[in-house]
Amino acid sequence: MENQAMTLQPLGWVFLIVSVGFVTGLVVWCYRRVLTLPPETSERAD
Amino acid sequence: MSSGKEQWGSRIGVILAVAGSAVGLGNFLRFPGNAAENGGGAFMIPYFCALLFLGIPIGWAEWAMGRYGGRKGFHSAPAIMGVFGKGAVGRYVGVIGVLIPVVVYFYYVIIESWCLAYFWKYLTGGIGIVDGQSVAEQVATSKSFFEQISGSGIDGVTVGGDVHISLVIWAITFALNVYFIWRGLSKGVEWVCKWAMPTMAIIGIIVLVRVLTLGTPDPAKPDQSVIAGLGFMWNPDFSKLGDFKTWLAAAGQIFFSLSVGFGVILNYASYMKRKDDVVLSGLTASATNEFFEVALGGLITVTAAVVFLGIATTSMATGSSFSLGFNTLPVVFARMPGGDFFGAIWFLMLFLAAITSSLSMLQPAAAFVMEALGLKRGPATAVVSIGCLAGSFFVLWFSKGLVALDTLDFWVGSFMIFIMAAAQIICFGWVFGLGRGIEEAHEGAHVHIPKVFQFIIKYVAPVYLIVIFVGFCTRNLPAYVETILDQENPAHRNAQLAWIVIGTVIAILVTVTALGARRWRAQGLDLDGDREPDDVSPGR
Repeated sequence: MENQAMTLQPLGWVFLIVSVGFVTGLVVWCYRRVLTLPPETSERAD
Repeated sequence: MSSGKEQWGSRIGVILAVAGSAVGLGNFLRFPGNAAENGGGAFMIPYFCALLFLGIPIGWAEWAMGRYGGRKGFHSAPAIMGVFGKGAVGRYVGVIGVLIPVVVYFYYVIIESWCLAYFWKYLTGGIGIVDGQSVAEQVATSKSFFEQISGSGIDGVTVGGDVHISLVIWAITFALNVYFIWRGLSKGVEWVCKWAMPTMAIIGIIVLVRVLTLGTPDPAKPDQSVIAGLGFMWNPDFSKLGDFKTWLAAAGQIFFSLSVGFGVILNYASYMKRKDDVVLSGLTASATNEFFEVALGGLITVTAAVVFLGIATTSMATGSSFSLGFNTLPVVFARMPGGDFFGAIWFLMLFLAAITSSLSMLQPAAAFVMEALGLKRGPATAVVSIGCLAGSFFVLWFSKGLVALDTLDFWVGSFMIFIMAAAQIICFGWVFGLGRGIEEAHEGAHVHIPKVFQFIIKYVAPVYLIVIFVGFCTRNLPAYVETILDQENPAHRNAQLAWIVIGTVIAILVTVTALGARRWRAQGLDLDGDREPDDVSPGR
């Protein structure tokens, strides 16, 4: 592992981009869905 | 029900609150070390498997169970598990869902106060690391400072003699938590999370940009570069996939990172209305946690450490979140241009991550006391605060070697979470019934749970969980059991005392649950899940 860590290898790039891309894409998709839902019909109060 | 009027202020509020509960120190300190030690990029394979087959399914079940319990007028894990478990067995297993957040809070608030202490120190000039010293000398300074702050050198040091700064900062942190819990769900917990979560994201991105633009600060050390750091973190070592330890580490990381099986989501979701979506909300909260963990934690912590300290020093730190967060990173900031500023905002972010989590531990406890004993929020907050003060003080005093903290963290913060999560998923899929459970989850849902996940919830998640739990016990239990049973080694005394604390808390919670059950039965509530919900809580 130490010898390989001198640089980010192609497979390392793949794992990095896919992992970070997946979680970023998922969170963006989720918040886009949540924030574009119709407004809630009733007022809430604590 | 005295807590019946409490609701979330908005749809995004409950999502940010659950996300806040999930996003904590582990996202930035535990995950990077875990991944680097267990295969780098290859670790993401078992990690995402655990996310899809454990974390998200159990999370959905917990959200649906919580909201269903709320419709019956219940907001605490014992009551809700009594409904899903159809009686007393479920109810008393559900006690674990209050035990976990309460006991974890005892030590979590202390760690949270360390973050606040470091933030304050960085605002006021740093922790004493001297420019120009070698890495080893700077790490020694950093460790010495951490020992002072945590009192890990000797029992009682933070509370004996002159007033110790750690005690003051712990008291401030504790008071802040109590204040926000006292303010209530919407004006307290939700308000904090609505501010803290975006702030954390902004700080995280600022630090990320800073780290990724560091390049190679010392041209004489080309191995200490951003690319080398990313390589150390992300280059895959596929040989690790053949080691059960890697799969165990990944499942454990997902599990504890998403805060499933903690009793928190059960409570938070119980304040939602019947037609409030739980599927998209649950997915969004989980996605938020994953973003902080993988996209921020996964790119910042280890990378920055390698840039300034090199791979060898970083490797020594990745096995321990405390070591990485409180010993190694301060040295990184000391060597970074503008390090005091970045150190300050980094520890502020960690503090915000911690307080959104610690509030989520106090809230279920307060809700439990409110509904079991019929108290209003003020007195319930006082009761919970006094109990947690005593517990936290115990951890603060018996600080030597952090043994007491570690014992509580293992048995309650790890072992019992497996038990609670297993109880939840089995109750949801098998006792309550998967069909009914999915139907309940789909009430008001803006997205539907894919059919394959129904199979996963019923069959895959329980088996996966049990396999991981058996592996976890096989690897860890013998050593921890030995520390409890060993009467001769004084170093184990604090572990034994910790178990006395755990036993005491269990006894109190079981007693309060019994009192609560009598109350709920007298009120005509359906505590054994015999009837369909009549939507007791107002606002429906």
